Amino acid sequence: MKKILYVLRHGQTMFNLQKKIQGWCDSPLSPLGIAQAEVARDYFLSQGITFDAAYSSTSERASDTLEIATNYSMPYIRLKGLKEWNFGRFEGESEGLNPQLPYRDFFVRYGGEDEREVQQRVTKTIEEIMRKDGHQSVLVATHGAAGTKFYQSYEAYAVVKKVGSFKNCSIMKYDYDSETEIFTLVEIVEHDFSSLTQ
Amino acid sequence: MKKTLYLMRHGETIFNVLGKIQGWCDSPLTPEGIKQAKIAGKYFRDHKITFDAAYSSTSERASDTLELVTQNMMPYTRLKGLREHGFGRFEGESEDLNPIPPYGDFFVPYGGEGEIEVRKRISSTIVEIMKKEDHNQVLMVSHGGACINLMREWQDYAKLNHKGRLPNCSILVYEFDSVDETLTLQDIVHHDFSMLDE
Repeated sequence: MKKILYVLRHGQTMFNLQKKIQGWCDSPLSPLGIAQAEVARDYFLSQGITFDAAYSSTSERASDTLEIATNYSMPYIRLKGLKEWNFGRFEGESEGLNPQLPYRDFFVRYGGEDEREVQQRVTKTIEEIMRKDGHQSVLVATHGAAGTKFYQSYEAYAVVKKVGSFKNCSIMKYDYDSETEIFTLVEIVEHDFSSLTQ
Repeated sequence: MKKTLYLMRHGETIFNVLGKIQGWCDSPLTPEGIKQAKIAGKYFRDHKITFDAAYSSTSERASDTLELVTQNMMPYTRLKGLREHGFGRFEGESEDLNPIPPYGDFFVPYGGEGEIEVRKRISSTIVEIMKKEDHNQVLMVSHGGACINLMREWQDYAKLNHKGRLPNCSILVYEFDSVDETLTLQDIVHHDFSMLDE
């Protein structure tokens, strides 16, 4: 049986604007971030897309984005498994301190997560969500690196390839086959935010 | 009718340890913070205190503290009105940059909240909740600055005084008079965390 999964990144936050490293720490959506989430909401509405179930990371920026994107119209479950990469003592510091990609195990010595650990955590969490009954159309609100790591887990099956980062409020649309348990990325929706002002 | 409010501060967080300003931004509970929350939960169970309803700030540190206190055994509502003082662009910066209290309107030019604004927000949020039916014993998990501001708002009614900061997971016990709609501070419960240092 085919199911559909929509993976949504949160809107721009205050720490994104201030160039602070934000993984397991959190900051409020900026006015632009709120407007971005509203654009995602309007996209779902205009396409007639509805959800049987919705999940967000426990971080407030993801929960707030989900609430706006679903027009505050449905209950949702917050899961730690959908959180961003934990950057340990680098949380809240300047993005200028980030090492070059790929990060691999750089953050482990600072109390953060290893790259593989993040990928397994997020992937396992989404796999478990999609195995549930009655989950034909599901929304998951998560983060830039977390979403990218999930993408990489099933990149070999992707019909559409992701180029560059997973942008604020972008949507990755997946077909999920419940027999084979394979996720196929079929579309990436990147909104035009040019009319929005910071 | 007299109702009882148990208002708590969240457990210790990474930003508390790193000395970072944390209002509307957020960071995870430390292992110490998790233990503090469990000790607060044990206090309620030892005293056979149960709740008709539970509320937390939308910040993850408060939601996580509540789930630990209640052993995740009851549903709860997350409310933005129970959040900490918003510190604007000072969020995530060093606590050394904080002015000497009282803060007054110091943070307003930086996009943060004024002290009176916080005081009115926290007080009206709590009074609105306490007015609800079947809310005779209510648990709320909020923040240090927010709790101090609530105490200031209702200090003329208080049966005791508190000076200085509120320690993590301390519990303010308030009596709510549903006729007069007043909040009277009856007690402050501080826990002995000394065993955590071993």
